[in-house]
Amino acid sequence: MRITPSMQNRNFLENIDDAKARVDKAQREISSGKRVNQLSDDPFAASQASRIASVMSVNDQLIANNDLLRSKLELTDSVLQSLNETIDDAKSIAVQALSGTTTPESRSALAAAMEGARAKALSTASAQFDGTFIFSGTLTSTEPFQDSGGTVTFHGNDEPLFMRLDRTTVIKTNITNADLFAGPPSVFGVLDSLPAAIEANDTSAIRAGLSDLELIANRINTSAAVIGSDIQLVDKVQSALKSHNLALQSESSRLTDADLVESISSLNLSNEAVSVTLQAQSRVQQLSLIDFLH
Amino acid sequence: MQTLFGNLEVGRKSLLAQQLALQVTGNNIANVNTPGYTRQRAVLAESLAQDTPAGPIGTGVDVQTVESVRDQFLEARLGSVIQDSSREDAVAGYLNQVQSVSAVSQAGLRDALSRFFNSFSALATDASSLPLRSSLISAAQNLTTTFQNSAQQLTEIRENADAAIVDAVNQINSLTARIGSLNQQITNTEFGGSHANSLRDERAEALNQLASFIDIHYYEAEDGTLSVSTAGQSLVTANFVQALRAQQTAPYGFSQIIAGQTDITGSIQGGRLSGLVQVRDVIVPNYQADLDTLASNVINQINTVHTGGTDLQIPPTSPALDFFNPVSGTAGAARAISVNAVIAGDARYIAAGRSGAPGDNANALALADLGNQRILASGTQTFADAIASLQSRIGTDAQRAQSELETNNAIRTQLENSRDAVSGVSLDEEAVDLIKFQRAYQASAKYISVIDQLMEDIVTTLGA
Repeated sequence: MRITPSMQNRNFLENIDDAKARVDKAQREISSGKRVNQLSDDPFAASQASRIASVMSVNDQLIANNDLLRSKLELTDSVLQSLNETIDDAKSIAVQALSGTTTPESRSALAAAMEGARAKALSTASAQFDGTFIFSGTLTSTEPFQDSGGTVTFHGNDEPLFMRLDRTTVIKTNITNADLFAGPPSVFGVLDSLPAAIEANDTSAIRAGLSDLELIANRINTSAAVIGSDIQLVDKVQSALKSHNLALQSESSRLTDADLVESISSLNLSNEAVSVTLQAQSRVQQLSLIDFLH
Repeated sequence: MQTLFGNLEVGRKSLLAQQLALQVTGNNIANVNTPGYTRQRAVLAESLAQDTPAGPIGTGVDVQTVESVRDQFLEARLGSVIQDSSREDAVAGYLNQVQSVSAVSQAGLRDALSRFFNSFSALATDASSLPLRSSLISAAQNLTTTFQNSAQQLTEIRENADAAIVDAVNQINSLTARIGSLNQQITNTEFGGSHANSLRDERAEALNQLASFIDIHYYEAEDGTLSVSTAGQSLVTANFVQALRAQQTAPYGFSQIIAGQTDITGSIQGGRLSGLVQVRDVIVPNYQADLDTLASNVINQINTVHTGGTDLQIPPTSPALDFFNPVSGTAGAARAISVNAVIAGDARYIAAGRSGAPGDNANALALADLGNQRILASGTQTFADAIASLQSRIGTDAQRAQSELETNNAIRTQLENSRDAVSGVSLDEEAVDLIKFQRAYQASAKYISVIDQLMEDIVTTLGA
């Protein structure tokens, strides 16, 4: 076969281009840390990574929502706690009113204390989370319980509020009037009537009120238990979502990250190839019969 | 009858022949780097023999012709691989643009879509919140802008390809005009029986350049003229040249390629032009169609669920407004997608609930869920899947074009090497020729001086 300078030049250029392309690729991998820098580097891995990024972004949003929801549930829990304490106070006031040693003065003081418990329950029931009333159902901007001339009336609705925790779990996130306050016996119905009963020393009404308060305390405990188990569920879902994201992150890395050890050794090899190709060419170029003619 | 003068003539012819051969060698060396140059060779032959009593004896050497050493078969194969590699070069170049520029290929569109659905999810945490509603509007506007930009980027790539097509048509016309005029010159030169070597080299080079633009068929007629045709249409016949026209047509003002009266745009199979046409008329429009389908699905799915909800107006708007302005048909949806201006102007028009109660988040949850449901491609893909599959398609196309380009380039190098092995100038070979012809020239000169000596001997001896 005849070998011509143009062939040698062409082959040399092709080899040096190849070698430099490999150097370039290795350098890109090392500087970006990524094996897949554009779609065509590995279309399958790139599109998988894109899917994974979408799923992770949904998870991130769910995690943020759940953090918020957990705060709301914790607030609800502490509101129930304080309501429970208020009902406890009301119970002990009623027990004192039934002690048989009361005087009109002390009854009046007890009635005032019961009035105080009612007011405290009323303000507790108007608790807000982030500007929304938690016991109004879906009418979150309406104050749920309002005192209209000694009687507490309900202005919210009984609609549940739902929230998605993850792709499969949706839970009810609010305690409604029907769940807790409406009864029977109704929380504010009992608290509304007790001060007058104490003032009037109507022992049968006070006794009936006391047993109603007992029932109400049970309902509060039931609701608190529901909220408690919801908080646990949220925590469980949160840790599942977080570990899902970790798994996705590592899968995405596996798909698109460069193996740095491999990239660096490939960079060394390709650099070597460039210098060897250059040396070889400089030797080959020297050799021609022309040089030996005198 | 032999004479010393006859012998002198033998020496003269030899000197001239070796000198001419040296000139051919020099010309070869001079053109060692000339693209398309085919090495030439002086064909030496013994002069007509003279009858003598001792039998016929030659009368020296003649240069019969100076021929080009070329392999027609290799040239033809090279032409065809040049068509393939130029086509893939064009396709790979433009697909690289698609994947490096477009928001579809990068994270842009995917992130915009995630942010949009996540905003519904966030709104579900407090459906009455105006800040959350406003941030949903901004996410939606970000999404529509990203769709519009993506569509625009793809259109621009098509426009660039179109401009390159017009340019390619001009180059083709200048090459065919050159081949036509070379045809004329070659017939004129060869009319007397000689070889128009350098003109033929020039024509072969023009033909290869033409092959890099368009797929061509050609044959050489008896008179040495080359006829070139493409897609069944003649480009060059003898010195008659039919120029291609790039004719702008509706609706996009893209140029169709016209030969005579025939539109050959869809029939071009090879060369840069076919790659450009493929990019402009097939590959990128496919991506645009996918993008439009995606955008129209976003519009329709969101609107269907959104209009089933209730907004925060008192009383609630019934039915709730379309979230996105509806578009007619799928084509162009990505370019046209826009948020309903009424909703964008007052976020309370967002229908997050289903009862009219401000805290009702049922519809916001349903809208957020759309982002995770397999509701596209006959219930097989989520929105994120649809983007990923479009990306995978772009990536696979770019990878295929790249690897075909590499393969074709390797074949091209191989064929160019094979052609050079036959037709290229080897400096070693020329050096050998140089010595060969130099020595022959020197020997012939010596021979003449010997004959001269003999003549002098005769003149002086016989004259004395």
